[in-house]
Amino acid sequence: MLKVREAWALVGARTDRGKVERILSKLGIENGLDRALERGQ
Amino acid sequence: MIEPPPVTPTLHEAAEWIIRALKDEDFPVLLCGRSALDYQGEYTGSVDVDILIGTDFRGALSVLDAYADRGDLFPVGAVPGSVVRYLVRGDKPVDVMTVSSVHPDLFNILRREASTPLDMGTAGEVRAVTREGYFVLPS
Repeated sequence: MLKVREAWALVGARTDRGKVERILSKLGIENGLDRALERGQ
Repeated sequence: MIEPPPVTPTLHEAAEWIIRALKDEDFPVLLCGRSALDYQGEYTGSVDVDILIGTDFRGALSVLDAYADRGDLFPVGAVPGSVVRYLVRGDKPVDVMTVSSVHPDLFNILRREASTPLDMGTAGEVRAVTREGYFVLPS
């Protein structure tokens, strides 16, 4: 999760957040990006 | 086996060489990590190369170990069953990873939905994960 937050700081503004969540969902992880970022706040 | 890598390779030359060595044995690979983003113009300052192996991770390691025996590569560490780090010519770091321990379909999902083709010179076309793929498998 820490690495996800680091990655968001690095390129988050240019990332398709919905697409990340769709891929994570296909891997059985729901709202993974949202949860990772929320924990960092 | 392919010819030895340059004596003092750049990081790009090391990446090209090891990808070519893996492709020579028909291993499907994906470039990932910060280097994949750098190749797409992000300029993250990557200092190593991360390569995902799509199948037969142990087979890929046995191929690379043959190059290590020849002195082209030096294995310098591992997370058992998931990542092995090599230094090309004892200098440029390359991490070789399996994704099967994370999810059996992850490689194909990344390849299909979150990667883009790159021209890697002598290694030919290689797919690299996009920013969205980077988030799914940060390294």
